[in-house]
Amino acid sequence: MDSRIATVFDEERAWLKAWRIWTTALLLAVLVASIVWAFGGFAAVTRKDLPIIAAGDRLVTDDWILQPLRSTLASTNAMGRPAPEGAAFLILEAVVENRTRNSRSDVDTAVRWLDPSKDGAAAASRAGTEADSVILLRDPSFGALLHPGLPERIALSWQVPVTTVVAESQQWLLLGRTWVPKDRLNGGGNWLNRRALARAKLAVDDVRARDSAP
Amino acid sequence: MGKARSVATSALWVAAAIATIGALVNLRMNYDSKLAPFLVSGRIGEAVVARAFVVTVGTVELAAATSAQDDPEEITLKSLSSAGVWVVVHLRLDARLAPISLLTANLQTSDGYAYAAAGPRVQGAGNLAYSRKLLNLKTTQPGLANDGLLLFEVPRARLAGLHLQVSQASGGAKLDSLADIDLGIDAAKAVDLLEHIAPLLTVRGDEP
Repeated sequence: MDSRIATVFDEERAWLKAWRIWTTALLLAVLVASIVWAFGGFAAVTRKDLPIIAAGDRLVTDDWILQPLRSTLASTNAMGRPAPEGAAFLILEAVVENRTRNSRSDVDTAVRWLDPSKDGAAAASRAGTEADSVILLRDPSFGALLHPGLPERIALSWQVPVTTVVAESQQWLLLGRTWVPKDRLNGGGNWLNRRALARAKLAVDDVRARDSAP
Repeated sequence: MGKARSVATSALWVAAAIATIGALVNLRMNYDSKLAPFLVSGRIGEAVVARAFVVTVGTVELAAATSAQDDPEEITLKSLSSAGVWVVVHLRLDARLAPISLLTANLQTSDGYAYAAAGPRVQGAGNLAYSRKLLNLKTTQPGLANDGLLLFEVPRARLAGLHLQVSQASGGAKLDSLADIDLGIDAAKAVDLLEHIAPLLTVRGDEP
């Protein structure tokens, strides 16, 4: 065979081989992406605008019913404890109901304050700060243990520096989890996939002057 | 053709391996079952002997509200109501081997809900009566049985079929004894208890 013809055949073979490799790689990538998509793997990275709820609105998640009622900036917390020198309490009052099958005291993980001083883009952030304390308003001396099917009025409070300029309204992320009957770690049931489901936007009533009145 | 068959065979083996692993993961006993507590069952009035303690439930009553009286001369008592009802379980607890605390104290409903025993946020001053009487807050020494009570909030509709479950272990009493006591409340008894509900239960710290 003419050596020039042999060279052409070699080039054709090399091109064909490369084409097969790339085609196979592309098909595999499409297959993997399809599987990830089918199992909801892209949901975590799909940023959607969260719905905003106002005072009095209810958010029903799989594990909680959350109904923010009002927000105050106060010099004492719901137990009457004064804030330390140079600090104040940002308080969010809410009615919450435990929708799981067990008494729980972790409602602080379902509500996070979007502290504007920590994140300029707080409104879009998925982070947030958990409350410093959760107080049962029915009787602050009792622990905030929330029982299934028994709604409670609670106060979540964040200690903030008194120099903090609290805007006329603040935002909180409201989060929910999903019951997985059989998780992949140990095969048992578990509440997993905590994710933000809404933002609560409430006006903040500054009651510090009233707190300090004789 | 031979190469394609070889690739197809390999793919089948890989698929079979994945399916086998998936089946094994789904069929194996999960941790909840592996670490399940050892249930020791009993009835109201019986001494239920668990690994580290003996518990005997005496009576069960309902209250619409509770309050605590630290001092017999204390007049103004703050009562605590409930969106459901307070289920008050009177019981005796004895430690068998070493000092114990009831880290698990739940009322289990017939439809699978667990209501944990309530208690004050801080023990001590202002809550002496609760601290002295609520057995989920106390330590019981061997040979020194404690008579006390447990307070639970439960919806009115879930009273029938309640079981008390107590253990010295926390987190579901994994691999430890869990005393499970049928409180003997059927539908008729639940109605009767609700008809005779006490408007206020006062826990007195000065009583033995």
